[in-house]
Amino acid sequence: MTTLTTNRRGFLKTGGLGALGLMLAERRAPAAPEQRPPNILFMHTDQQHWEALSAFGCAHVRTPAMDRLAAAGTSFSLSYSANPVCCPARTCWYTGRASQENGVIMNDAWPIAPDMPDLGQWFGARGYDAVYGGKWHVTGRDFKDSFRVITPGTGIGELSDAAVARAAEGFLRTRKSGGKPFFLNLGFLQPHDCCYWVFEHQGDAPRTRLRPPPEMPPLPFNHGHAQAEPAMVARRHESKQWNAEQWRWYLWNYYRMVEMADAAVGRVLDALEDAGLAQETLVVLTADHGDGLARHGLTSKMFLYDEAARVPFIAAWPGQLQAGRRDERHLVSGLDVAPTLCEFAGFAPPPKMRGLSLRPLLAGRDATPWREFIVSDTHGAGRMVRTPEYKYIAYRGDPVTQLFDMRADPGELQNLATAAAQSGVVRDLAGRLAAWEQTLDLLPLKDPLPTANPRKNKKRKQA
Amino acid sequence: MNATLPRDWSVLADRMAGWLPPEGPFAPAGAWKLSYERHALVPEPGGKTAGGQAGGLVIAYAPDASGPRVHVTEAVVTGATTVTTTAAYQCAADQLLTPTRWDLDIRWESRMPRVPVAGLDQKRSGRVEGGEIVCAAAKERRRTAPRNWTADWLLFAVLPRLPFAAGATLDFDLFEEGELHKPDQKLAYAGAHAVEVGGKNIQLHVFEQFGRGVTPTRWWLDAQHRVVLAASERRLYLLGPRAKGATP
Repeated sequence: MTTLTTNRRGFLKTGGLGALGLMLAERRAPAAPEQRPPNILFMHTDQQHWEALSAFGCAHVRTPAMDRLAAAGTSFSLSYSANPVCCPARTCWYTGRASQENGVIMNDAWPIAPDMPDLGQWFGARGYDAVYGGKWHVTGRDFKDSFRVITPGTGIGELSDAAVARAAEGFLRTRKSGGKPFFLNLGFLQPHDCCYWVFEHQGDAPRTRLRPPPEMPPLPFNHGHAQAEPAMVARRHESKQWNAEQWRWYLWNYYRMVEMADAAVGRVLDALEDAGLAQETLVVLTADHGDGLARHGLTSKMFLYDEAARVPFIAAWPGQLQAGRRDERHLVSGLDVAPTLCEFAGFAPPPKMRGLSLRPLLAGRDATPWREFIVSDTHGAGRMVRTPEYKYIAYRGDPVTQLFDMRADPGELQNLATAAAQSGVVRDLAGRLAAWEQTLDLLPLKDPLPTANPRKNKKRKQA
Repeated sequence: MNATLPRDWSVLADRMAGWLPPEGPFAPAGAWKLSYERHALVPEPGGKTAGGQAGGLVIAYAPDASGPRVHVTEAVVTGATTVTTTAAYQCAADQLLTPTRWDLDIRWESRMPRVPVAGLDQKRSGRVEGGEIVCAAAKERRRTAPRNWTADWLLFAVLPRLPFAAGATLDFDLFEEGELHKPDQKLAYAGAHAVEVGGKNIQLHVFEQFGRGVTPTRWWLDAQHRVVLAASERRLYLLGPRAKGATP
């Protein structure tokens, strides 16, 4: 596997939007009319951390299908969710717009801006058969209005993912090579079932009802920490009263759920090859967000440490893109999905994309000028600026900010935000964040959508 | 003997109140047919777990001079669609009922109205040939057969053949539906439990299953070695008459 390492020199001192202009110059002309655009298979898992693949060195999980895809394409190590929670992350993929613009700033609350196009509509209007199977979860838009839905799946990965993969298998086996191009989207739920595991084991030791197996993963080195955290993160610790064995038991189960997602991915990849479509199909695999994985004593998502924010991103197209390559240099965001897929399809993306097309990087043009930072946000309050060296986290109205030197401290254990020597870095990154936010067309938020849960409604109004 | 109500039996409290344990003899090596309700287990914050029936499973076992035959029908409800898989396995007469040939017929229907979904149905088959597992759909895929392996549905017929003996374990690889490899499985006998369900106190025997690609699963067998309940993290199969209506 080829590996690209980070080299700060040569990076542009621009954010995603600033680099967009440069990327437009780089962007290839749309495909010639006689040239058939590729099929696009966009698969996403739910709550899969970047490292939860055996191909990326995780010894606790077995992911032969995702490994196979990584070996066939390019994987990005510095890949981040645009907003590490389900609905916002997915809406960012499908609109290419930041959460504060598309309206979906948290789960199941505010709806997507009604007039904002999504990729299903965009591809469907441009000659693609836009098809969806599995989890969608873009608040306020029925995916049947944007895609041909083959199966909606259910909210449980263990019950649903195999069926979604079977549906995709059936779909692919009936496609003819060279036919109308398809844009097949598959939303697998695993390893999201780990959230249910947490609910079931919350503060309740006796519910660990099986004798755990002897080969449970060890606790991560950054499991314990003593740093001050923004209040919205700090309170996430309150419900966890597990002992070390319970944490390790959680991890063991999490990795089994990743393996279930991998099995579903494997079915689909096999079907693609068996149908003779692999050579004419761009495959992209990513996840909406990661999982706490016991790091910083956390599970789940909705915070900006790497365990929740960093996700796998793999793209492969046999014979067209470089194979077996791991890019550890370029910062990638979930906002890049839309411009990337549109460029491969040969048409312009919807207006005001906030991400960049990854096509030049996937083609191996490593000298391509690239962004120097990305921004992710969470829950309408937390924002993260990530550069190759640093991560700066600030929550609106919270006095605790965080700065991590990501090269020296990848576990994010030493908060440097108040270190005098780092005041210039903090100022610089805060300035970049402010400049980025000024470029956004903020959507005024009206009342959130009501839910059946009055407690949730009250909480949302407060938020 | 443990007299508390284990999680697998408490999660579907409403359903269990009317559940009756099976009666009559059961011979694991004779011809038999059992029907199971397939339930989704949906925990909520605070530790409460809701459940709902999400399909059904029928397993029919028949001894045969050329090796046991197992016929499976499983209906899986996924939102607005139902996928029904019919599978026929020819097996070796060994402890794991190792498959030697199989056929899968996968059909999709929308639920309301109940009509076929075009373009998704599939027929697949598989066989063991020269030490290789050969799966055939649009083209054949071959892989070396592990030393000990079986298919996931066949566990409903394998479990009844295991002794209720402390320390008894079974190591094997699993192939989901005969196709997807999930290695390093271990089944271990975990003792007898008294469970009070539907006003009756019944004694059941438990096996625990761990392995790659599956969530830990507990198999509950009655004194006749009949699987009456199997529960993993989010999926539960319960032997019962309601299952008949759940499979087309």
